Amino acid sequence: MEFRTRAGLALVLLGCFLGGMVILDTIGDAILPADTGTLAPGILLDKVFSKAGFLYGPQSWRPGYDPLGIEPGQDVPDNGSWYLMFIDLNATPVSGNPNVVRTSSVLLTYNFTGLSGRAVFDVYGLETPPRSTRTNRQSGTGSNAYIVTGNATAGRTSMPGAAQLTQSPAHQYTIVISNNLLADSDATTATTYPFAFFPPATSGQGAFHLTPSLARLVGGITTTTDQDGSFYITATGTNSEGTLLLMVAVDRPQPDNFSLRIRTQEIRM
Amino acid sequence: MPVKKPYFSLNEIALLSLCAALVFILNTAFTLPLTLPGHTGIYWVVPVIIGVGIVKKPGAGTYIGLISGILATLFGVDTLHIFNILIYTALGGMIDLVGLFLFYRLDHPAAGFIAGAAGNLAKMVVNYALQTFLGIPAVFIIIGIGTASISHFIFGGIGGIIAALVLSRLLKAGVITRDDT
Repeated sequence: MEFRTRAGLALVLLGCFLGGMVILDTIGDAILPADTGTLAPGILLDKVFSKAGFLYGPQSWRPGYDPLGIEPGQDVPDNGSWYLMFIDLNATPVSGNPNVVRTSSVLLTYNFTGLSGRAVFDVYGLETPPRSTRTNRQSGTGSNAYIVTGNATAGRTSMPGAAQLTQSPAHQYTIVISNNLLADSDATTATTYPFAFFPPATSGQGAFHLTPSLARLVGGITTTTDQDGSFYITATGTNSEGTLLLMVAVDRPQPDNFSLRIRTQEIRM
Repeated sequence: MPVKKPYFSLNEIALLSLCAALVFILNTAFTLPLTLPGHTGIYWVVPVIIGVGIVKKPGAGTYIGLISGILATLFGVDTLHIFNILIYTALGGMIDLVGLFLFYRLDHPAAGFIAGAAGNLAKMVVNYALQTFLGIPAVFIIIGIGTASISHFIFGGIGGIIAALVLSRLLKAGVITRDDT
């Protein structure tokens, strides 16, 4: 068989392989239906947050190895003015081989009151160095976020408790969470968690997925106007070693009557 | 007593080892701001195809893949650690097979394209198989595999064409020669 014939044959084989992969992608949901799991008893977190919980901002980026955009699907920080709140969810999705570990996801239920503009949900999973802090992918294939839009009137020109997070050349941050605000407790020091990012720049991205339905585990960018709703947080890759934090970002100052109730439960897969 | 001739000569081993080191260096030094899966194939496959195209012996690509995989594992470049050896070896092994199938005419752009695309796709398949073995639900892998396959095919093919152009220039310059057989 001469060279041209063999080259043509090889191209045909590659084309057939590609076609097979595209077909598999199309029917993947049907041939591999995802386990929707069972709800475990007990509420892991049930807390209401006011606008005082927004401790960071106004800024256009969220922590990553390089600063990540907050606008869903946008990698590079834009000129937006977002206010950020970090919440310890008291829950962690468990990934891995279901023959070895009992895998689980986290059901997060939210209830907004007085939301003005957009609220973007992202998640962070803390790790032991040299593993990078993990987060949901910000842009490109497999990007994830959950966005809620509200129509309340915006608050004053700034949020009183917020200060900008300083970009770290060492790619490490100390984040104050809003679960136990000093004003609401007898504590004298705020509860903080370390974020540490290591090369490569995309390390840790894509480990978590935010999805409105466990029938589609990989999730995506979901936009809704429902002030009350829920979504699931799933994980892939090796198991997270540490705490799962929720980042809530709003794109403008919130009114005084703003509140956000967060509840988390475990879904056993 | 006749001395058994080694399969690869000293020059060939040195060249293949340099190509393997170049794969590792390109993987660590280059960071393309692309979020498409498989985009690294555009430069990964170049040293492998050049090495296979010069040495023209079965096993050359597999050797390059094995050494570059060992280097990647030792330096902790990728997240799959020791399993990187399988991924890199699969890429080299597939380029070996394609080179053998196409009479080692890897200086031809079409052959370079096929070798690069096939090598990058083999890397993708082994990578996804390993992730499934390590516990990631198969549904996460399958959803999006169509897009991932196409991007691996395109970037690997472009890398293969680049390698073919380099090989043809080396041939024209007389640095390497084509066998008459």
